[in-house]
Amino acid sequence: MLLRACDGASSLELPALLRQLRGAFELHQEAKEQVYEAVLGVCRESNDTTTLSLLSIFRTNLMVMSNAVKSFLGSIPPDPTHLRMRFRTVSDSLRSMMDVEEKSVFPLFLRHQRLSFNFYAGAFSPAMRREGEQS
Amino acid sequence: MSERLPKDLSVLDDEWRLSAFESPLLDYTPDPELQALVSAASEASDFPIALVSLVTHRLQFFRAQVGLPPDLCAAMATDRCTSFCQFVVAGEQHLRIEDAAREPGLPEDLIQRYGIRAYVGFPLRVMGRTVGSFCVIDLKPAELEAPALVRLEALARKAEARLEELARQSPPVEGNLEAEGEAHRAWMAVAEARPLLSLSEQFSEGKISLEEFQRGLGALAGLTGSSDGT
Repeated sequence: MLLRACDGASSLELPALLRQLRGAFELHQEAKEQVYEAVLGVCRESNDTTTLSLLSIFRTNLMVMSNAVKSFLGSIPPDPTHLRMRFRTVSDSLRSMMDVEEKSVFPLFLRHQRLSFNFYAGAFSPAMRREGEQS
Repeated sequence: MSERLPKDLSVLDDEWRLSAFESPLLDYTPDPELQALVSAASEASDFPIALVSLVTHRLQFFRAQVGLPPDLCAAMATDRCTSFCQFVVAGEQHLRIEDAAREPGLPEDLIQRYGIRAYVGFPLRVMGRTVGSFCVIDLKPAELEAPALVRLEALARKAEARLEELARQSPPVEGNLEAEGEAHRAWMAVAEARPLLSLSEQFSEGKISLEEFQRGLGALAGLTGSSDGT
């Protein structure tokens, strides 16, 4: 929702919204990193090398992007036109990240959640947990 | 006969050169005009691959392409350090390679990974800066005759004019140059990480195989700091 607000914001509103987005994004990334750690731990324990390898690739790719996004949000272009144009790249990238996570990463998380629910259940959002319990 | 490669590549990291790259240039949205030019270049040379390749801080980014394998189509980029186009930009002149396998000094990664053998590239200049190469590539040793080279150079000039038009969509930089420089570098890091996501996205959607995914990652190993991208 915050991302959508940024997309539609005027050049004057955008810097303040991006500061909000930075805070939210950093918290979100920290939480997600904990989930990665937990799931990778389960993969190692259960010797699931395929999932381990795939998750490690996705984690690395998404981390390169999220670090770059964090730097962008911490160094907002002073010129409003540049900010607006460059933010489009960032917004597209964030959407692409969410898409990859939804299609490839979360299904891998959920597969392991069923196997070892107690190991990292606390790291999931309630919605993800419900989905995992139902499937 | 192939030509000598420039030894000094320092111009590639020149801040003024890199500041030419803004979002209209490093965009994944296909540009029909550039696309038509690369198709014409492939036809004129009879080489299967033709590119508008933009050489940035860490990548060669394919702003338009024809003939690339699925993983490069998905990523639309490789590491800069393995590219042939970096030599066109650094040397600021055209480059002809008849057989890359017999050319000392060329990076071997793309030869081994994709079987690239023949290459002809012309520099692309935007706002007075050399930003990339308009090139054709063959997977077998080959040489182009003078009429084909003349035709390719004419197409390169048209691609250059289109890139200039795109670049001028961004306003010139004014005000606090230090803050702007830092902000530009931060944005560029996002733009340069996009090939990793694009590749991941295409794999997630089942458009490329695991093998292609891994090969594409290997060609972008410099972005992730891994030796083979996996």
